Amino acid sequence: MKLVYEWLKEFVALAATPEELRARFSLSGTAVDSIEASAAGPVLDAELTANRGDCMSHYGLAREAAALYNLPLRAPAPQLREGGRGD
Amino acid sequence: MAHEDPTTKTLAELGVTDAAGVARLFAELRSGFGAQAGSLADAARWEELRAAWVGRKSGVLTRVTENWLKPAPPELKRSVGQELNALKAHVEQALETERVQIDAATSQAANARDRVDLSLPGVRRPVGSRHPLRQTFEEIERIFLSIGYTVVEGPEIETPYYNFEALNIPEHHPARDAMDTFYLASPPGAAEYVLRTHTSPVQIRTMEKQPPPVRIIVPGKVYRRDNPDATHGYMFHQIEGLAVDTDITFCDFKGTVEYFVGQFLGPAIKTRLRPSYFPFTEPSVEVDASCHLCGGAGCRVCKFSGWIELFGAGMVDPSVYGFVGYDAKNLSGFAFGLGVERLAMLKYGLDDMQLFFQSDARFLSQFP
Repeated sequence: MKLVYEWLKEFVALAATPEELRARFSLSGTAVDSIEASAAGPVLDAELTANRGDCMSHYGLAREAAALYNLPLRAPAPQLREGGRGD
Repeated sequence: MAHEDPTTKTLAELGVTDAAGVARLFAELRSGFGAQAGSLADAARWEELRAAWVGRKSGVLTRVTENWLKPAPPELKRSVGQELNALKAHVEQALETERVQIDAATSQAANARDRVDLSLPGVRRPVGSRHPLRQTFEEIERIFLSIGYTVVEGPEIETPYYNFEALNIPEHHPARDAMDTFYLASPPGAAEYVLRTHTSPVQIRTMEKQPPPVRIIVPGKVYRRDNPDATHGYMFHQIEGLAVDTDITFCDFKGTVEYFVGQFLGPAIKTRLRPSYFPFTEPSVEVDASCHLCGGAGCRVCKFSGWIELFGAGMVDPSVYGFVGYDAKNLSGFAFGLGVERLAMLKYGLDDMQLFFQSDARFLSQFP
């Protein structure tokens, strides 16, 4: 899956460069095929294995990165409104 | 002829009334024939002459028979008939002599044309060579045979049980998606078959038949529903490896892999193991080789990582032993699946897998 580096940083305060992250991810079971530049910054192409459905999101891979670098993970704080369904 | 052809008229019209006149007429015909038959250049001219004289419809002899013999008065019939027979015999014999001469000349010319010149150099027939994939197979087999493995083969049409279930891939497991399987058409209610997506089913088939220890490699074709491009094909080749015994450790696995890569790609190539996932091995790894082009510094071929993915492998998942009746408590082993095209491309520095399948002699002749 495509992974926007800046988006990951919303969940974990990464100090590693995209290149370092790629090498680290590759040795923890998430192969990163390539890094491409884009308008939103570097985009990593992560190859997930079939047993890691939990990593199929930016938050999931941020959790992986937080564990690798021993950093705190900032969970997304959904803004929920009281009210009926479907509003 | 300056005057009219006498053979179109009857003897009466010609004013011939006695045997001497008949003899003179025939003598003229005969000398006319002699002039035409003098020297014939080829079979076509011979055929023209034959048709003009003995042709059944309009040949001279037919006209003589019709115009001279048939209406001749009874006292001349006998001499006309004799002269006609003599002329006919003469013409036929002369024609036959000419034909023999022309035939002889024709076959002499043909012989001269076809004569074998023994001093010419021979024709060099192109000699085939072993296909680069076959050579790669043979080299890999040689390496593993030298360390005690045997070669085993299995069917390309498999049941889902051997291709998936017995390898710890139950139905609806996400790993089945990644395989892009060809399912064979079968009547409703009949057994289902697939084209094997890997050579791993032969692991199961072998362990079902043979008690441990097992040390095998399985070369063969596998099929996946991929669009052909530089690194994919709907058919490609794998060599499966399996070693199971009572005391096989991850160290044995690593040593075997390093030995193989060193033998196949050369001692300068380093290897590393990278965690991965396959349902039938635990732990699973991808074996990477240091990039042969840049030596690990990073280049286009290794996508600037310094490493090139070689093949998947791992320690056999104990649940697989359950499917073949092995004692999972006392056995351990490792398995690997080499992509033959990938290894051949690395070894020979190729960038397009389709080259192997295009039967282009300019490519194949470079692998003597």
